[in-house]
Amino acid sequence: MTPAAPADAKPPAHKTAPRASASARTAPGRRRKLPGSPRGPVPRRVSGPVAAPAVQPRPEPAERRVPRRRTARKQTLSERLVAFLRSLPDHPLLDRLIRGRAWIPVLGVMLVGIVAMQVELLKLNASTGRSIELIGSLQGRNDLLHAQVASASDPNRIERLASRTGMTMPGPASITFVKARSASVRRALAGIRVPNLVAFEAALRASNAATPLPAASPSPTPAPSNGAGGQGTNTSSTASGAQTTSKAQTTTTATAATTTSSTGASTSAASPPSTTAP
Amino acid sequence: MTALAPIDRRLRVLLVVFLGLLAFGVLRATELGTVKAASLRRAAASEQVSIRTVPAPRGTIVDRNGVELALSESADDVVVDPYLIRHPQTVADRLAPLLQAPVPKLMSELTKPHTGFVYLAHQLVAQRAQAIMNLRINGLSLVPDVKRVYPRGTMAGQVIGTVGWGDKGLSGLEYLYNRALRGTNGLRKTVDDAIGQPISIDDLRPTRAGQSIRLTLDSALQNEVERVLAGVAAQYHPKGATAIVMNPNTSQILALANWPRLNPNNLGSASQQAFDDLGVGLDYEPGSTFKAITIGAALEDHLITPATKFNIPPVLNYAGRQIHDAEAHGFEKLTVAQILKYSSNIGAVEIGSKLGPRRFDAWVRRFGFGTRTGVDLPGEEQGIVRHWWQYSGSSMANLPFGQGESVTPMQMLAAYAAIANGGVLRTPQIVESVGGKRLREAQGHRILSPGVARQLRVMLRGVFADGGTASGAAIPGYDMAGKTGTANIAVNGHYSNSEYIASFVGMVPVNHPRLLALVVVDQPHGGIFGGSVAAPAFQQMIGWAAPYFGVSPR
Repeated sequence: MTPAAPADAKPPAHKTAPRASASARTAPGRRRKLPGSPRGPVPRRVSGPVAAPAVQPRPEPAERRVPRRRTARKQTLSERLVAFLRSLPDHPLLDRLIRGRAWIPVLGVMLVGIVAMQVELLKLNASTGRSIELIGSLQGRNDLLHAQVASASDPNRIERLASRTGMTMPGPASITFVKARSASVRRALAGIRVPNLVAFEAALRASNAATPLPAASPSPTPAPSNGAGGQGTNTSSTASGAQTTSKAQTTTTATAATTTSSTGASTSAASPPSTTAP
Repeated sequence: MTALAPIDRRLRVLLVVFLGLLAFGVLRATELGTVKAASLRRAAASEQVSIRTVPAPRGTIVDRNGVELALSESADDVVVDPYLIRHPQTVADRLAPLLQAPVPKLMSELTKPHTGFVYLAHQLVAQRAQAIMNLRINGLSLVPDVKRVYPRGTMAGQVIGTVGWGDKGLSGLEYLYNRALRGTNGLRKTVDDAIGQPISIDDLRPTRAGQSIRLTLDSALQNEVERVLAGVAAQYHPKGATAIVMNPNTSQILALANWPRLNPNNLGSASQQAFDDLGVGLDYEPGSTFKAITIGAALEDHLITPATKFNIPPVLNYAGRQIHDAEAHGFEKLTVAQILKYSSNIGAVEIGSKLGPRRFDAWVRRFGFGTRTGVDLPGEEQGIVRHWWQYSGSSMANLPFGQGESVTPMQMLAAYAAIANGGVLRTPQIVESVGGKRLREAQGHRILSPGVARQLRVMLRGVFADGGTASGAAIPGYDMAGKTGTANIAVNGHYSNSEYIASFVGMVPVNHPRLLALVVVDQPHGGIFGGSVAAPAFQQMIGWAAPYFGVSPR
C-alpha cells in the first residue's frame, strides 16, 4: 500500500509508522534491495535517534479522518490507558533505546543490580536471623534477671542481711501508740532532721567490727519491691517489712530504727536501742 | 572466502565443543533434577533447612503488688547423637564439669547403641548450655525449652503449685490455670547457609506466650505468715498447720500458708504431705470456733439475745451423754456473750437445743458448710456435714459446739467473713486477674442481718478480754474479736484424749473489720488449746499485718 522509501531516505517520525516501513528499520547488513533502487554505494546506516523527517508528511487519506473524528470524542481513563499501552512499543524513546547502544550498559547495570539486590537480600536475611537469635538470647537474659530481682527482693533475704547489721523486726507487743495531739505533731516535726550519714556509717562499721560480716555482701541491699508500709500513710520501716500506723507512732527496734514521716523526711538512729517518738 | 575458511572451521569446532559441554550439562542437570532429586532434596533439607519448636514462655504468677512468685526462663535440653561421637571418653571428660554429671554416666549415654538421640541434660540454664555448645563437639545439639522458676522458693508453694514434664501444671494454680498459663509453642523454619548462619527465618506458627496471673496474695504478708507458722511448727511439732488471712469486705485472700512448706524448685526433697494445701484440703472438726455459728443462728431467729442468760450446770446430761466444759465449774448463770467468752460447751448445747435439729442443720448449710466455697484452688474438700434426718439422738449434744461435723479452714474463714462484713457470705477470692482481665468479684448473699453480725462481733471481742480464752493474744492498741477452738480428733470412732486440733479465728478492728485471720494447727505437741497454740500465732500475724495495711488502732 505504502510505497517503499528510498534507501537514503530516513524513516518518518510518525508515532504510528506504517507496517511496511518496518523493512526500513531492519539492520543495515540485512537490508533487502528494493527493485528500482539506484545502485552504487549506499551510505551505511547507523543506529541512533530517529531524525526529523526530511519531507513534509503527506496529507492523510480522507478515509482516515473518520477515525480521527471518532477519537476526538472524549476518551475515558481506561481507554486512554489502553491506547497508551498499545502505543508504547512504538514510543520513540523505546525506539531510540533499541536502535541505540545505550541498552547494553543499561542491561548490564540492571543485571548487576539484580545480583546486588539478591546479595543484599541474603545479607538482610542473615542479619534478620542474627537479630532473631539475639532477641531470643536477650529475652532469656531478661527472664534470668527477672528471677534474680525477684530472689533479691525476698523479704527473708533482706531480713537476714539486715539482722547482720543489727536490725530486728519489732514484735507485735513492742509497738506502742501515742495520741496525735497537736503538740505531739509539732514536736515530731521538730524532731525530723536529715540523717547523719557519717554517724550512721560509723556506727555500722562499729557494729560490723563487733560481729564480722561475711565478705559476700558488698552491694547495697535492694529495697523490697512491694515497698515498706503498703497502704499506710505514715510509715515506719525496719529491716524487711513495714510497720505502719496512721496515728503518731513509736517504733522500737533493738539496735537501729528508721522512721519516715508522711512528708518523706527521715530520721535515722543507730545503736543504742532507740525510740523515734516525738 | 579462502581467508575465512580456517576461521569458520575453528568456529565450528568451538561450536561443537560448546554444544557438547552444553549437552553434558543438560544431561547432568536432568539426572540431578529427576533421578537424584529426592535424595538431594532430603539432604539439602536436613543440612540447611530446619523446623524447630519455639517454646512458649509460661505466664508469670505475681502477687497483688506485682512481685513475681513464678516465672519462666529460657533453658535448653542437651541432646547427643551417639553415632556422631568418635571419641566418647574425651567428650565425656569435657562435658562432665559443665553438665555436673559423673563421667561414667555420660559415657553410658554417649555410647548408647541403636539410637541417634539421647538426652544428656534437661532444662539447662541458657548460659551453661551455650558454654557446652562452645566446645563445638560434633553430634551435640540443644533443644530449646523453658524452665519454671519460683524465685521466692517456698513462698505459697502449695497455692502456686508445681509444673511437670512438658510444661504441664501438676498442682495448685499451675494446675488449675494450666491452659491460660502455658500458651502455644511456635514453629520456626530456618534455612542456614553453608557456614550455618541463618539466611531465612520463617515463623510457620507464631509463638503465643502464656497469660499472666495476678493473685490477691500480698507477698510481704505471706512471708510473715509463713514465718510465724514455721515458729509454731518449731515449738509444737504438729502434723500440719495452715493459716489464712483475708480481707472480709472483699473476701480476697491476702495470705495462705501451709506447714510443712513446699519448695517447687526442689520437689525431690519434699514429703508427700507437703503437697497438701491444708487451707482447702483439711477436713477437721472445728470445735469451739463453731459456737459463733450456733449463736448467730439463734440470734437471727430471735431465739436469744446477747443478754439472754442460761443456767450452766457442771455437767449436762443430754440424750444419755455427759457434756462438760473445758474447765470445771459449779452451777452458774452465763449470758450468751459469756458463753462465747468462756467458750462454754454446755451453753452452746443449750442454745442449739433451742434451735432444734432441723433449723440447726439449715443454718449450718446457710453458713456454707457442707459445700465447697468455690475458691480458685484445686483439691478443695467440702467437709462432712450430716443432714438433720441423719442425726442420732445425741447429735445435738455435740454439733452446736463443733464436734460431729467436719469443715475446711476455708469454709470456716468464709463463714467468719460473713460475720465480719455485716452478714454477706461470699466466695473467697485468690486470683485477681488472668491475662490482665480482672475476675468478677463474687457478689455473695446475705445470711445474717448487719445487726446480728455486729452483736456477734461485739460478743467475740470478749474472747480477748480478761478471763477470755485468748486474753493473752490481744494486741495493745487494737480492738479485736475472735474465737478459740480446741477439738479432739476422732480415731477409730472415738475421740482421742491425746490428739487435738487447735485453732483460732479473729478479726480487727471490731467495728469495721479489715483483716480476718484463721490459724489451724493439726495435732500439736506440748500444747493443745487454741488459746495457747493458735492464738499467739494469730497475734503475731495480725500484729504485723494491721500496721502494714494501715489499720488504725483504737
